[in-house]
Amino acid sequence: MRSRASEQIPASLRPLVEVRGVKKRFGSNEVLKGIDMTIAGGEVVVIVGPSGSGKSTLLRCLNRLEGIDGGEILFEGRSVSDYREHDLRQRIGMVFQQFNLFPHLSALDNLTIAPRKIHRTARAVCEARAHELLARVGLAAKAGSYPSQLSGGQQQRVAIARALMMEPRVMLFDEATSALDPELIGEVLAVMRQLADDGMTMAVVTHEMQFAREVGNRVVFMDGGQIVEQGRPDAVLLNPVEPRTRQFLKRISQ
Amino acid sequence: MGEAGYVFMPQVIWLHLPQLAQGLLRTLGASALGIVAAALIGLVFGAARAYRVPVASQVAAAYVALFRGTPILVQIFFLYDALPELGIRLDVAEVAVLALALWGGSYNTENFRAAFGAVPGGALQAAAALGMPAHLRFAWIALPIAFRLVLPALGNTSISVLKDSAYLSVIAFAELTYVATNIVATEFRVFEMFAVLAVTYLGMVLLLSWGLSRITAHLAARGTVGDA
Repeated sequence: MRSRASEQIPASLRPLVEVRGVKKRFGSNEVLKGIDMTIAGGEVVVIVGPSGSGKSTLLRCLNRLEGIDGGEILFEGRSVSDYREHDLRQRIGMVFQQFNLFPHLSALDNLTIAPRKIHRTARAVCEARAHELLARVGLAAKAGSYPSQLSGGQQQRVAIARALMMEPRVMLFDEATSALDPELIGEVLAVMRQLADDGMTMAVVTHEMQFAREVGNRVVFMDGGQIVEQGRPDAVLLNPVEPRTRQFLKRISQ
Repeated sequence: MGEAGYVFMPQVIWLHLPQLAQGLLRTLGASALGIVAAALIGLVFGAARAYRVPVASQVAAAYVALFRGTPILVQIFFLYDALPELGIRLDVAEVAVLALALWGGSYNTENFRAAFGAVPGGALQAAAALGMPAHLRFAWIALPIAFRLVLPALGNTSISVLKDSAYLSVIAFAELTYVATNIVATEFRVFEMFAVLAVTYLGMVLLLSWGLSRITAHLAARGTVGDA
């Protein structure tokens, strides 16, 4: 189900992710009411909005943790429904609000279990790369620690490294700092910022407005299952056009 | 013992030691096989229940209702008397293991169902998001976590299987209780034999509990599952 338009544009110029008229319903509750959005390679798109606005659902539709009821989502020019589910997900990393580490595995094994079992990559190869990534998120010394022995911020950094093990083309962050104590938020945001600086394509659902302004290339404001406003972070966050955006920003700055 | 008082004669135990040892071996063998088989039944049917596998889940539910809802003694008699009528000829040792496995398996089905149900959904979702297909998520995430969670309940059921192997004496399976009570019946050495039974069963149960707590402690030291 490739679209004709996308076939005519050279792959290098095509957005990495294209969301077209996507609708999603939970029972009688329509949570996405026709979303159109693109994410270009290397771009950091920050999605903000009140809770219940459909931000997380939108992210979860991108890697098919949720199915969609209308419209289509293209990843690298191909409909996500044409991919084998696990092939798609190996290319799209995801970081969750609750970290969701594997509690029975050490930090190192949290990183290596998926590549070792999916691709049957040798343990030594996986572990070398895992140590590299743990060092990158500042946890070189914690490879042998179990999740219950780590702080929330450390767990989330392990979770980010775990997602990076699969060498994804894009990373989705679903309120990655919302479950953290305030003093632990900074260390996770620093890792995300570093990732953005390294050129990773990212879709970030967050309430951290400073991060949105400083790291985002684009801010998308969602409310009631629709994109109300989007544009450059300064424009959307400092001079919003839409009354709903203004209202939201006023409410969260109080 | 009504007459002039009972004289405890430990040499009776030595005299019957070969028989008693053979009975103990049968108890250990039937219990070990029963415990392992019951765990496997519980694992398979418990997973079928937890993940609502069509047909298998309903079969498992009916099996659990039947075997948890009837006395093990009735089950033993039924297997011993009814299977030959159905053309299934098993020797008494096979009936013994089968009875323990089916009875323990029904409890373990519920134990495993609860354990699989308690595996944190977030961990499974993270595995899915990493691109692990369902069979890998089950084998490497759900199963090891559920195993840690099921251990206390699995241990209790296993201890019950071991103790309830004594019921197998009713079908003349010559396990420890059968041998000892026969000696009581023929030689009236009541206290010697019940001392043997008490000490031996207690010893086996304590050993099993100790082993299980060692496994639990070993796994707990390698990442607790409850709070992460």
